[in-house]
Amino acid sequence: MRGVWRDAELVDPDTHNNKLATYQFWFAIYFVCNEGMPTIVPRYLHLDLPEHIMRNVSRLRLCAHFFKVEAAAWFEGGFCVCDQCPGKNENVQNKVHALLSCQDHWVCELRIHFSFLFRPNFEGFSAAHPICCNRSSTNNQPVHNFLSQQNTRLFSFFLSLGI
Amino acid sequence: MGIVFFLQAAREFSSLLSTLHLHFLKDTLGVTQSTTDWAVLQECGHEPLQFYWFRSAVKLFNSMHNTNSITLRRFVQADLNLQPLSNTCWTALLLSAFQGLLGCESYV
Repeated sequence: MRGVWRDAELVDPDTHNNKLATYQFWFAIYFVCNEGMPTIVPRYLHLDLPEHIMRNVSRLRLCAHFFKVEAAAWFEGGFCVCDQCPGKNENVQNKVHALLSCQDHWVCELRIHFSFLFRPNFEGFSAAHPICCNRSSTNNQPVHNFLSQQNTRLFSFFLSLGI
Repeated sequence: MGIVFFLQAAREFSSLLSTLHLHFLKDTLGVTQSTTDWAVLQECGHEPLQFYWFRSAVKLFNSMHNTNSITLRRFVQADLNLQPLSNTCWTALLLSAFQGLLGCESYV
């Protein structure tokens, strides 16, 4: 059973459109090996959130969203390039792109509105430049910190994005 | 054959009960039924039902093996002796469930 997760660990979610690997990379909380210990579940499941917000967060975490990368997995030759970004930037529309670096005007407005979620994790973030592009394949820590922060308003940001 | 069939590797989600379990979890989370089963289980902090069945089957086997009842011990011994000759005896089915486990050679 653990072999499923060991295999998913070896897949790079940036290069392979694999839901399990993506979930494992960004969100998975590992099972505690000691059987006597209680199992850890994500924080949002402990909160008394409205049903639609909980559904929204679950969909984002479990890759059951409507981003292009998800649609491309279902249709042969599916197109996963973001159609919201202006210009000729060919960015894959996945959750990290949508949350942090999509250049759509409305998404940028949202990031400015929720700037208190971004500022502690992304140094270059400002109202004039509401795009978090300092992510590299070697340093995903800011993104992990952003996604795992204990601020309940993060869920409002997810909801506003209309995932 | 019964429940031991569902203990084998890659049959984690073959049983109706597992399907119902996952439907319930997905409904509770509000995600579509096409969402990855393993991710849903991990999200809810659950193991596949197969894990609990497997553990119960091994516990039952161990307790039968260590029982005070001479009759039951003889029955287990007879089943163990039958295992090389028949694929349908209980011990053979249980051993087949070990296939696919990491380092299964050390358990079988």
